[in-house]
Amino acid sequence: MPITVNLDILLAQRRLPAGELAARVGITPANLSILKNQKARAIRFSTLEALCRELGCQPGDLLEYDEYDAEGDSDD
Amino acid sequence: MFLLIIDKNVSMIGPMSMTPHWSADRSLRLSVVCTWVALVGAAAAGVAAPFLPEDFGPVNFDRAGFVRYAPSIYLCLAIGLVALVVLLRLLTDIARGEVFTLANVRRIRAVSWAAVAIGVVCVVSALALDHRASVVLIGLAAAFCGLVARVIKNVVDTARLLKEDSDFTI
Repeated sequence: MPITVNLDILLAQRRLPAGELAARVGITPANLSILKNQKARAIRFSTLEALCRELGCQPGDLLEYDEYDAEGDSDD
Repeated sequence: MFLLIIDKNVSMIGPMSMTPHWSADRSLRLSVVCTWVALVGAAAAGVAAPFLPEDFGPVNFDRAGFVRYAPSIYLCLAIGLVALVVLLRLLTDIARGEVFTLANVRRIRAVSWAAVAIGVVCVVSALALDHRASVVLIGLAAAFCGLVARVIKNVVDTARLLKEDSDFTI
């Protein structure tokens, strides 16, 4: 997947535990873990909005497109 | 709309109303009971077939005819019993809430191929032995059931992919 979710970087920068972010955003820690581990296939605008609100960032800070990964991407 | 009496309660089944008394759980239990009845019935028929009188019910096999068809009958019976066991495992998974899984897709595919195999055995043995029309018709009916199971397999497989997408949408 050429889209990377930089959630772990943002969490580390803000010294915020993943469980607390999950509670604030209103998703389960398991779902937050899916996002963190790059396993998610899609993200709802409402979730993205809540993440940006709680982390004080823009969607572009959270999501990153890697064109080199896209070239070699064939398993999805 | 028509009426169905279950447990002394009158329920309505149809597009106008979903029944308060006939639940998915009861429907599943009915399927399990029917599968067990088919399984035990098929096994009993296999054991009893050589001892049945020649004019037993609609099965009008003379003794020589039974001997000719015995390998085909018991091959079909074995395939059918395996398919019924697979169906029971499928129903067990459904009861546990695991419906749209790869294992279930494989099980429905196996049942589909089993039905097609029974159809092929019936048609081939009828054509090779005595061109008995009833056996050809049974074979065609089994093959049709296999086709229906295959379409259901395609539906469940597509539902599985949709569920996977839904599960990984955060």
